[in-house]
Amino acid sequence: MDEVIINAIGLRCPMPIILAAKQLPKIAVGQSLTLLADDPAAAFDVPAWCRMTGQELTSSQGSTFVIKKTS
Amino acid sequence: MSHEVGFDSDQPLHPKARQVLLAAFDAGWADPRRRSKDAAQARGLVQGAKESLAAGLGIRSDELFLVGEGSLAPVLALEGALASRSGTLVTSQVERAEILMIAASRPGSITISVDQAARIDLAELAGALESGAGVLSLQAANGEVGTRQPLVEASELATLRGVPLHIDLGLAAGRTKLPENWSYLSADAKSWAGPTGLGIYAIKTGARWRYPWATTQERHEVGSYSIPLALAAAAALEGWQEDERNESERIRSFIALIRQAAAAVPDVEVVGDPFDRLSNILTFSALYCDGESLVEEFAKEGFVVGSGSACTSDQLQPSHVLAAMGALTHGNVRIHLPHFVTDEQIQRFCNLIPIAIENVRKRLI
Repeated sequence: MDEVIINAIGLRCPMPIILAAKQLPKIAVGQSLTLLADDPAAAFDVPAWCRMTGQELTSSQGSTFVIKKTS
Repeated sequence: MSHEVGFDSDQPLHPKARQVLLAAFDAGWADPRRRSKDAAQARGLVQGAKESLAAGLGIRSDELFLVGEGSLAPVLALEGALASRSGTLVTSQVERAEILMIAASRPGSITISVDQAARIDLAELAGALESGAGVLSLQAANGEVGTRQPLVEASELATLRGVPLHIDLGLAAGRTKLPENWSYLSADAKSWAGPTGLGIYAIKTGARWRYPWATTQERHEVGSYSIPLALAAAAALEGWQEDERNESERIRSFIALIRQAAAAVPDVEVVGDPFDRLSNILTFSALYCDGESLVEEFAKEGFVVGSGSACTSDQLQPSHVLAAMGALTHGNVRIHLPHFVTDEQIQRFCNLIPIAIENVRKRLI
């Protein structure tokens, strides 16, 4: 399956999270999506969103977050 | 629209303080350090104010000092403690910005982490105190999320290692039982509905402390401060503590209602310790909302609330407290209930929470 990449560079929170949440129903459980977000709050909000919604943040490097759909 | 209801941390001057303030400007104008009869009267007034403030805070009046700016009290208390000894500063990630800036400016300082409820990690604290610590500075409770810090346990750890403890009382001032072995305290009269512009700090008898700023003589206080404000602060503390005794249970039950209303909305997380906390504060974060729009939604219905989201601050940075807790920083709302809030206001506010969140989400999603 193609890699799903969401480009939220330049967008302020909560927009990166909203874009990621909209994409989530479109991928299968076990598949991952990559979120690009450079808002300073994203570093805290992406992990918090994953925790609150039960998804898995498999990696986070600078502005690149990889989220695995687990439910 | 109805009259504005203040659910943020700002509160008007206590009515008892207002009475005192007017009378005090007539009686307390002289410089108490001079030798005139008026100066003697001013000295008496300061002494009276200090005794009253000390009684309210549960300390001795000769341990208490005043400074004419609330936010300088923690800085003075801590800088003076650090100036009197060698060793590093140990503090936590969720302290006020001034304390964190002192830590950042001193090489070797340790800022210990907090758990999801914003409570300091005691095991990490014990370790940090082993490595050449000079002073431990901790808040009594977090003003943003309400969580109380384990002061008794922290002070025991510090005492065991001979490290003096500075307690930044913040919003917990006047409603906190002090652990026996504190060395320095700081508070702002604003936190008990006192006037703006009066900081209070304390140095325990026997604790070392050195005036940290340029001076030609040994001193404990910066210089002059407004005697009327000191009297007003003392009257406010007395009045506020009486209100607190009468109101705290009612406020606690109101906070429980608001907590329920917020937690019932999907994708909303109430943050902070649910039990060991300041009884009038509640903070929650709503996914897919920005804090600024939420604050505006509440303002439209006449409620003034606070927020720790980045979009409501001057910088692009969200609240360092929410970040340290691992809590969601966007869609954040912070409520401080005042004494004498009414059932009707609480009911209206509870009903508004799901509507406000839905309105913002409808626009963004």
